[in-house]
Amino acid sequence: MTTTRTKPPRRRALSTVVAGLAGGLLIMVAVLKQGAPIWSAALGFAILAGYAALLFVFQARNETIGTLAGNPVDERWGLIHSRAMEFAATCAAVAAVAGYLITEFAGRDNWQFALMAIVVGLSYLAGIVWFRRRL
Amino acid sequence: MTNDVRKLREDRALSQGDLAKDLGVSRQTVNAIETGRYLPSLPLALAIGRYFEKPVEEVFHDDDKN
Repeated sequence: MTTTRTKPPRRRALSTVVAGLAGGLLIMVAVLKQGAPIWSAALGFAILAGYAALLFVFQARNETIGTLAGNPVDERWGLIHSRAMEFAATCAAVAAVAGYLITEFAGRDNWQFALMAIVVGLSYLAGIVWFRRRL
Repeated sequence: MTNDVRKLREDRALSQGDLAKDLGVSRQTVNAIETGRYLPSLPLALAIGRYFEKPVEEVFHDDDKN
C-alpha cells in the first residue's frame, strides 16, 4: 500500500528546538545590549524557548502543532501550511508597503520598511524563477 | 468533483480513523476528502483507489463531464 504520510523526522523536530533556543538567545543578547534588566532578557528567551519546547513535545500528537513546527502530517496539512505561509507573506508585504508610505508621508526615517518591501519583492521574483524550473 | 470514499468506507465498516491510518493521512484529511472540501493529490487518489480495489475514476467523479 502506497502511503503519503510524512512522519516528522527526528532531525527536523530537533531543529525547531534549536531555532527556538537560538532565537531566544539572540533576543536575550539584544535586550541585554540595550541595558535592560536581566529579567526582561530572560523573559524574552523563555517565551521563544518555551514555544519551541511546546512544539517539540506536542508536534507528534497534534496535527495543528505539527504543522506549526514545520512538520505537516500529510499532504492536506502541507497545503494548509503553504496557504498559511502565503497569507502571512501577503500580510508582511502589505505591512511593509503601508509602513513605508505612512512614514514617508510623515517625513520619518523609513529605511527599515523600504528594506522589508525590497526583500519581499525580490524574494517573490526569485521564487518565480526557482519554482518555474521545478514545478 | 464528487467521490464515493464515504460509501466505500462504510461498506467495509471502517471508521475514518481506520482508513486514515491505512492510508497514512490524518482523520481530518479523510473527512475533508469525503465531504469534498479537499481534492487529494494524484498519488493519494491512486492509493485510495488501490485500497478499495477500484480504478480511481470509479472512486472520484468529474461532475462537469457527466
